[in-house]
Amino acid sequence: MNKVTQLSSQVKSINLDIDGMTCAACAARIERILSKNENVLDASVSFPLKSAIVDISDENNNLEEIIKSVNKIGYKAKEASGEVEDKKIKLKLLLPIISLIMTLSLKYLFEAGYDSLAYIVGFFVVLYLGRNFHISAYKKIKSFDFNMDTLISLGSLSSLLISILPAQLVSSAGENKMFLDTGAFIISFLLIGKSVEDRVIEESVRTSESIKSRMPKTLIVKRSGENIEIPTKDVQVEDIFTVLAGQLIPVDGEVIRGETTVDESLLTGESIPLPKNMGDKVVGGSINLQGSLEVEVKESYQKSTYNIIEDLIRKAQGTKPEIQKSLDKITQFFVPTVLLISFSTFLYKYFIQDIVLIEALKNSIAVLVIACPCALGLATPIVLFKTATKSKISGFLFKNFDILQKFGDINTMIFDKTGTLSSGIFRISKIEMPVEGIPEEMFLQLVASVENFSQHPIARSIVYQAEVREITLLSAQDVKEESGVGIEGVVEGQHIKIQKNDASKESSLKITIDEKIYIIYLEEESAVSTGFLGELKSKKEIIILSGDKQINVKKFAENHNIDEYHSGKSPEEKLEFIKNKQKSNQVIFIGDGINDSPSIKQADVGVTTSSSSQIAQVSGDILIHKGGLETINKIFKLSKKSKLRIYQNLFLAFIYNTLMIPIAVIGIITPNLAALAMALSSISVVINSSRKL
Amino acid sequence: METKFTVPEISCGHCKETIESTVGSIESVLSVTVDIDQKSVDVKSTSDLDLSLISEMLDEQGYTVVQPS
Repeated sequence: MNKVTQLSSQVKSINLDIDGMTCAACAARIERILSKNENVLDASVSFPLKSAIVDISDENNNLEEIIKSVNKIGYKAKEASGEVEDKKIKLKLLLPIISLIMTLSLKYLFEAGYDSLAYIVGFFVVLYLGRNFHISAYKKIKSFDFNMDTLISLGSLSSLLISILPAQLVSSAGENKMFLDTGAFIISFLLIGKSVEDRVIEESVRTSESIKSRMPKTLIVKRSGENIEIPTKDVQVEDIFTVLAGQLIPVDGEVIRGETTVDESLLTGESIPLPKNMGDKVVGGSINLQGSLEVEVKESYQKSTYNIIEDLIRKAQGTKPEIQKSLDKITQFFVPTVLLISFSTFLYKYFIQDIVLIEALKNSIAVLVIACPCALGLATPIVLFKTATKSKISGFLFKNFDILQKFGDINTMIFDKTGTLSSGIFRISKIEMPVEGIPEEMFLQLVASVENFSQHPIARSIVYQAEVREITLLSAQDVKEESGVGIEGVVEGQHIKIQKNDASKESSLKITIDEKIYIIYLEEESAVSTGFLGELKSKKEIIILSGDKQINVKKFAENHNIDEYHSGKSPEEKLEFIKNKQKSNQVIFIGDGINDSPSIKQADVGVTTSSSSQIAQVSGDILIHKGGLETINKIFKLSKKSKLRIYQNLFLAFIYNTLMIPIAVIGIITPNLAALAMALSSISVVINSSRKL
Repeated sequence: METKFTVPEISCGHCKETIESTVGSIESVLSVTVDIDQKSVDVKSTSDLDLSLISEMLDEQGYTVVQPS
């Protein structure tokens, strides 16, 4: 669909509240539907916030049509205005308190003889305030499906029903009236739990969305000599914009005028100001700290680092750790089982133990409520959200959370060398000069002047070395480069031929000037400190798997004290090696993400170390975009913590159920207490999740 | 008649419900079974089904139909 917008058209952002989403996939589905609409320029749906931000062209403002399209696929959307939003949040917090006060008043109303009023209040709490539980349960039961709400709804509704049965039927002198407050208590306590839960989720989401709200929505660009204001998302390649000191850089680009330092901490957590001069790349989302800059856009808005990161995080939120998938299955069986236990309790108590009907009912309702593993659904989402936010500021991203659990089992780490362990920057280690050759300084000047025409890493490194030595480059003529062979050209009348030196096993170049031969030996600089791999070696098996020459790999491995290394491996051979290793080990592969793509996909966990400009194309489960390879330690730590937090949550969610079900079956616990225990279980899970990771 | 296809976006009960009711609304359809884990849909019908029609209907709901190879 053609989404190019007229420059003159104004963009309007509308906020929608969306009800009925059950998972991150729902959010993705709504986003797809919204994006299909011709008038929608951009749509971003947040599952935790149950809301969407939709950018529409103001000219044909057809909000209703957009809302209709969302409702048509089974959700409820409505426009949210700021004021209403505030009121809604306040009401959300107030509601459970009102509900609890009403519930507590029931006892006094009955005592004072206002029975009818008590019934009105009780019915209002259970049926109206608790309507969302009943609606959700009804929807599920329709398709023979059960969830937590099934238990809550059944528990509260059956209490309500018992309270209105004629006293003779339940053989108690008006005692059944008090079942009204049981139903109301169940609803009130769960509403409290839900409100705490919503608040925590909202807070974690809002913190991470704060950058988004600070990103400028429009900017003034210079396009074909004219200054025009456009929506930020409509920037095009070659647009030029100005960023003043203190302003946020809206999109990625290249500095074409001015110099400054920038703070990228909002995006990457890197708080040290980075200097930026002409020709340097700046990233959208960073803050220009000093001078005014002129920046030229080099990529479309969608390819801007900030957007790619956001997109990856959103996609990762849609994935679930293995454990959550098993839990979803358990819940399917858990709820019917609880229904069965509850019913059996009733049958046993009433018919076999022969206790009064009302007590038997109390028992079975208590079982129903206490068994509800409400907190189960909360065990992972908040933790994953916090993990994503934390990883983003630590310089890496999880592309999916499926791998979270595999982390603990990893016992082998396989590293690619070039571009991963080593930097791809070559240092001249030695120059072999011929007898009566030109001086070294002049020699380097001639070579660098020709190499300046090549993009090969070795050529770039030689030019860099010349620059470091403050050697001025000369102009070269008739430059010819033959890929895989070398480059030649004429500088100041001298013919210079640079070739790969096949005679040596080391990385070296053979240079011919005036029929005299010079040899440059090169050494690749390491990207990690010598201690780094040694430290990892104490915990895991470390293997270097490289496509580089044997001598280079050997030298590197020896420098870093690594015993196992394999050189000269093609991408296919690397893949085969990993497959074999996986027969007995759990493997993490760390590579550059583009050439090593098959190996990264094959490994149990694939980590890539690509620079931010390549984020979009790389494969891998985890992507390191800042801080280099040593971030690996942070990844291990965070994954471990986040996995532990999920397990703690599961423990907290289940401990109440497993301990309380037998107590409820015996009949020691009343349904009211059961409801309180449930609310506490949810609250403890939520609080545990929201602790700092 | 039996028609099988995959819908990669299937992820929860909500999806299952939507797909079952959408495909179920086609007259000749007898039953629709959605397997959430396999992301597969199995449709039994009295006559041959037009997969492009199903594809169009589900597209409106935000799902894509992938034919088995």
